[in-house]
Amino acid sequence: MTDIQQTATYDQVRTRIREYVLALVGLPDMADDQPLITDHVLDSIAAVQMVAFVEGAFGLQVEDEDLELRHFDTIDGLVGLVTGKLGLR
Amino acid sequence: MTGAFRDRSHHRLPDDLPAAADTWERAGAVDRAGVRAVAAHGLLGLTVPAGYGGGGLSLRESVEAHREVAGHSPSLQSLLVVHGMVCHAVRRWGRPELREDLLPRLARGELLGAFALTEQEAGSDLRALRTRLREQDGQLLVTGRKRWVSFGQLAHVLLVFGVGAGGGTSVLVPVGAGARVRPEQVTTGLRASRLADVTFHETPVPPSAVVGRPGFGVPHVATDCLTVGRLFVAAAAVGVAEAAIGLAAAHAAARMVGGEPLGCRQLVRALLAEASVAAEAAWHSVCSAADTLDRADPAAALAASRAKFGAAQAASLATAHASRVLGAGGLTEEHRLTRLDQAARTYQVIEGPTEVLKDLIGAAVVNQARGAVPHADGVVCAQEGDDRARTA
Repeated sequence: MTDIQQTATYDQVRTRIREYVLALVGLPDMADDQPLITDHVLDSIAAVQMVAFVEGAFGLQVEDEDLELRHFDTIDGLVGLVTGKLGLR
Repeated sequence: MTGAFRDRSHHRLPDDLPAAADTWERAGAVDRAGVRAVAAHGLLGLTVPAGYGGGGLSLRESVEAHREVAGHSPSLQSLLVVHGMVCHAVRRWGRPELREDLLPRLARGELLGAFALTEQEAGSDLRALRTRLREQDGQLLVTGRKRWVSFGQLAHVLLVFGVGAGGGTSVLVPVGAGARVRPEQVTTGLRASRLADVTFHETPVPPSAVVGRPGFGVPHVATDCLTVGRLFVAAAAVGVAEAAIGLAAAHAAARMVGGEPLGCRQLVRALLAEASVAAEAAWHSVCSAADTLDRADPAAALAASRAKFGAAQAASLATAHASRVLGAGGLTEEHRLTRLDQAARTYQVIEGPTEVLKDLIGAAVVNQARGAVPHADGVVCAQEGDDRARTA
């Protein structure tokens, strides 16, 4: 168990994911429901980076069954995936 | 002998690899005996976890083997690339029953895997794939045609990318009844890599053979595999560069011109200096990219692209310079340098052509200046008359 798994709150997870995705996209702000992949803001290589980020930042393993567009297309989707796997909701 | 790979004696190269490589290149084909020999040396399961009977090497350790094999036989190294990508896909994204069943056999080389993505009209653009995967009576039926499948003539299973009801899908398809395998014309570079043109007509596979979730999962699996493939090709390009430098240096030391060795000429030394520094820099870039992949660093895809671009450039530079040092003798069809030179040209094309990689890398440099996380993606550019962002 990593520190973040023991201490992270739902809001901390959202903040961390927002920061990463905004930096990845290179925009100062963006809605949490803005589609990233279906609106071609990011491509599949960036999606691979998001998987690596989620695994590294939150100490969890993204499994085959997690690889659904709805989990990676928006900030909301990523927050749902991570908080679900961390048992924060 | 130095380096993590060479220190692991059970993964040393077959002693007769240099001679065998010459035979394969002349014949235009790596044969089954050659495949058995590298399998017996553990080279087909380098990065497969030890629990599945593999070598359990990190990518950082395994690139040493890729570099060394390519220096002797670029064609054989391409087997390690495609088989390694299939092992990676099964280990990371295959279902548990598929992993348990196939990984040990892949690691031992009893089963050879090949990567069947490219079609006549589709490269790595999954949206353009025409191969279809249709569900019927609890099975998937594969119909389509894959081109230029490296080692497709020898492979027992192909990781086939296609489109099903749920979107893009990849499945491991056994080669046998229902798959027609024809040799492609022999290419100049990697000429012994047994390229195949494979046609499937309603070839049945069980649902457990699906690798990656249909839809979003499959571009992810393809990109993930190609990132690893890019790293392996980069390591191979360094091996090719170093082998060419070795040939040139030996010739420069031995060949006498006007009573002194050729290597006493400053312009000859300059060629060797440029080539050796380029190869050394490329190798550091490969090792650094391998470390980022081993750490699952989000920047790994970009690092692999940077390494592959740099290594392919180094291989081209080194083989061109070596050619001038060796003179006419190095231009013959059967000379080792010719093989290395043609491999270097191939490395500028496969696993991401140089121009595509430069575009990705340059875009990441611009993104970084704008304060974004560097990533191997296009610059997000607003298009005139279109409020959506675009990726180059």
